[in-house]
Amino acid sequence: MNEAEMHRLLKRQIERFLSDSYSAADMAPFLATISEAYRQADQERLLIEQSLDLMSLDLRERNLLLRQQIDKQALVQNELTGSLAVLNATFDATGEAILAFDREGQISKMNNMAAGLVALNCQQPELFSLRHIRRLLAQLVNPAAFIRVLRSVKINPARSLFGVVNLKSGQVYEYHSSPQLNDKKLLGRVWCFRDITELKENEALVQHQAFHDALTNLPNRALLDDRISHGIEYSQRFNCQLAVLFIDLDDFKKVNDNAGHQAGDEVLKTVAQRVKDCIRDIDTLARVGGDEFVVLLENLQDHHGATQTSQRIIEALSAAFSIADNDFYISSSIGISLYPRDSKAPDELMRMADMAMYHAKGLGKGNYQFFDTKLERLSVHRLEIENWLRQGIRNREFELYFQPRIDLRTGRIVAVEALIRWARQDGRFIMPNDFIHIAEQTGLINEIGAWVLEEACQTISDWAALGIATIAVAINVSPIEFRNRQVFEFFRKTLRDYKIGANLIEIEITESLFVDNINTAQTLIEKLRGLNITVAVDDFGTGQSSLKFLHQLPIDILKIDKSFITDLTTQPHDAAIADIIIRLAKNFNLKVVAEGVEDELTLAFLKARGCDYVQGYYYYRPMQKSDITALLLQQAAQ
Amino acid sequence: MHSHQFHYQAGVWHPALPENSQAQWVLVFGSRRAMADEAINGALGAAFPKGHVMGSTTSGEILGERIFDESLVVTAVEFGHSRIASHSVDLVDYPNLAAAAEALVAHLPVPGLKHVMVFSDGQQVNGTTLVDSLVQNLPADVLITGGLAADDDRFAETVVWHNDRVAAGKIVICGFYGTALKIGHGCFGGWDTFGADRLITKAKGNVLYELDHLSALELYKKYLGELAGQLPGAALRIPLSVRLPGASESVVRTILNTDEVNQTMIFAGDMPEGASARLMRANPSRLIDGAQDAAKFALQGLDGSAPQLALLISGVGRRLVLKQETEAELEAIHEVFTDGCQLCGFYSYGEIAPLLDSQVCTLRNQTMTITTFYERS
Repeated sequence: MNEAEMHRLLKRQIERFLSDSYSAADMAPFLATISEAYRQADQERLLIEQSLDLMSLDLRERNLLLRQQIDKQALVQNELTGSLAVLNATFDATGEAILAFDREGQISKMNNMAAGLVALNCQQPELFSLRHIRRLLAQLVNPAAFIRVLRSVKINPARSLFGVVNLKSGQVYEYHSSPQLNDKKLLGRVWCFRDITELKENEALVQHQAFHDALTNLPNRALLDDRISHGIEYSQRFNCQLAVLFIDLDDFKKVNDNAGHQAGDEVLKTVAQRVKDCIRDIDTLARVGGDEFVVLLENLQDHHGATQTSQRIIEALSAAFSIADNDFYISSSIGISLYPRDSKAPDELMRMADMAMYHAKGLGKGNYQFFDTKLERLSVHRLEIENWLRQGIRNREFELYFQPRIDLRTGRIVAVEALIRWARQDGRFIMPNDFIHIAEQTGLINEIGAWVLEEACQTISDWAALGIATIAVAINVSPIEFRNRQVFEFFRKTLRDYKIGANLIEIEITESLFVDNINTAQTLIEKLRGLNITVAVDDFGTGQSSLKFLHQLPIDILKIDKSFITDLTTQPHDAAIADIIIRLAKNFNLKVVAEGVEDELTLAFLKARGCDYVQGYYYYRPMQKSDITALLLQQAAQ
Repeated sequence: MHSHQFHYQAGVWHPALPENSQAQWVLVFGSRRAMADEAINGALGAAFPKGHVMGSTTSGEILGERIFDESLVVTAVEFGHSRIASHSVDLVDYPNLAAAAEALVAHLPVPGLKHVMVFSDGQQVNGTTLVDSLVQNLPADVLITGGLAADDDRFAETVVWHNDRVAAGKIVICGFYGTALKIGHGCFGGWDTFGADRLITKAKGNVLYELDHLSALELYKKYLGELAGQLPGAALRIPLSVRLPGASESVVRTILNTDEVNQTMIFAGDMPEGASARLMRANPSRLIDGAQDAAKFALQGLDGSAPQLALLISGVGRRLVLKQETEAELEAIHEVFTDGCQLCGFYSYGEIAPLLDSQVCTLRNQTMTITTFYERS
């Protein structure tokens, strides 16, 4: 080994301690070994130092990374804390009492509502013990049932539950309970309790409303049907009878029209109470329509019970109803059907009682009628007429006949009354008395009335073409037509379409129109008169005429009902009435028409009393358009 | 039991080989060149006609307390009552290592089998797979010790000797029988771990790609600094301590080779992905203490009998870091055993021994692994 290769430390050591006192050649292998050991030690140290540097660097890098992760963690922690706060707030705001239990049965989490429910402090959780369960159970109406639920959870901890518990306080709670599972491993159980008291109450209310009338709180039609069905079953089993009393308030409409709906409602409530007082607790009173009530009488031995109850009801309802300082008088009509005599079907019993009620009404109101088969036949006949009417309108089976009206001063025809005649296609004639009221009931009168007006206008128009320009045509207008809001517009349009003077159209109305609703009638009549249409009151003296009406109403003519005219010469009473009507008309400055004049004596009487016009067989019967046209042409020629 | 040692160096045997020795077990550890010398092979066959000759190339031959390179150390053992059996296979004859291991065990009589010693090619064999396959085929109470052949720090070719066959890609196995025989074992490393725990994020078998998603080779080069130029040998200075997830004990893994093209490192045993790894470094005095601890443990296995022969197989990395001090670990072992115990062995590419606290045999790296023998007379 030369000196250059020798480790520098060894070289220095040799120079200091041995200088020249050694044999380089002899010592060479030994020194080379020492030099190599020095060199190796250096290398090892270098390796270790290098490792230390690298480790420090590595540590710094990892430390930095960890710090970054800690910062990130802190950020996530912050977000989590925020989320947790939101969750906790939500947890408390759910409106449910929520309790989470761990596997040992201790509460791991609960919200404020739950704390209230089990009387625990949710901020300072205490051990959930048997004492708390007892306290909870003590609040329940049926603790045993809930204990069974708890046991079922013990037996099968993985099951989910749903149910309802009733508290002694009247509150109702719905509960859901689910196991808290993590990868099929049971961690605990969550219970949610929701106060559904109000919901249950609302449900009950809705249920009640579905079967009761809101105004009177009486059973409605649906519940009544159910009661009737049930009653029939009971009667079958115990061999007794059952009666359905269909009550309709006569003239109830007057109350609504004159005093308002509020007063009407008060009357209805009072009616309900009065009828209730007339029946037994086991009987049912239901409200099935505006002013229609039905009483179901059960457990009857014969029909006398129904008779007595009906009498009591009619009497009770005939007494005055004092509403807001006003006394209202209404009467009632009752129709009665009996099980098993009339039918065994609930619907049929109702229909029959209804029919009997109409019959009672037809007989003059304020009475009761039992259903019988004649009524049924009548009803069938009505239905037949109704069907024929529809056909008749479609097939234009109607024709206008005209009866002349004579001016007593001149003896000339001044007007005609248009009278409807109906000849069916099979050749049968049907009289107005047999179909007009059905047309009114079914509303078909509107179409018939429209046809009459158009036909009258056509006739006037035809006559004008022939030079007959002064003969007015009187048409009968039903009160039902007056209810139609478009009636005024229809009159105006039709007159315009046919280009005829409104002064040639006269409408005949009956007194009943004013009874129904005087204000509406008055307005409409004023508007029609505004068009220059003449208004006559037909059949005057037979209805509920009131002098007040004559004073208020804008009318032109009074027509004395022919019942007073026919026997005028033999019945002083009729003569007196006719006389009074004529004088009345004069006083109100109205013209008077007498109908049904059939003989000379009658004519003389009327002339003497100053009656303006007459109609009757004495002069002319109602005749077809061709005949009256010829007659008028003849008169014009004179 | 008697044993005699012969050393061949620079063309000379010392002492001269005997004639017609009765030795049954002849251990040969030496350099590739000496192994390849057919004359030597012939001479040994003549000297020990009854002997099962076995051994391997080394990274240093151990003879007593000294280490030699470029030589051949022969230890001939003559048992009084015990028997041995041996068998070897060539890897090329089998579809895989497991099949080869199965064939090896199949040729050992099982009744009375007391212990198994194995010497294997150190370059072509995944030591972990070899040991696992042997363990699977052997009775549970039979322990295995042995080692992988070495090639200095060249990592080029390792050779295994069995009787007249000396070749690379070979594995030889030796079974020991007889009630008079006691065999002890001890195995210690003494390496220190340093630096952070790193995760094996990419590996396949015993090929390591990445630690913590970074190139493992680059990491090694960084730590080796100027020694990086001496790879793969230099990497022996920094073995890896590998711990499987959930395992309590780590194993030391040493490098067999590096692959600059693929930027990988080939280790002596498996490098499972998901396992954690820490770099290790040598502390000379701790390595020497470790060797002595291994000797003490190996002594315990003999139940108070003094060992007559000790086979020492030490990891090549230990020699690389201990350098001139390497023989100190042999001296430390000698201090434990008596003068009557002959020491033989070699520096290897991998040691095979049971873990200290269990009967589970595994591949170890950079340890001092000692097998002690005592035969009742």
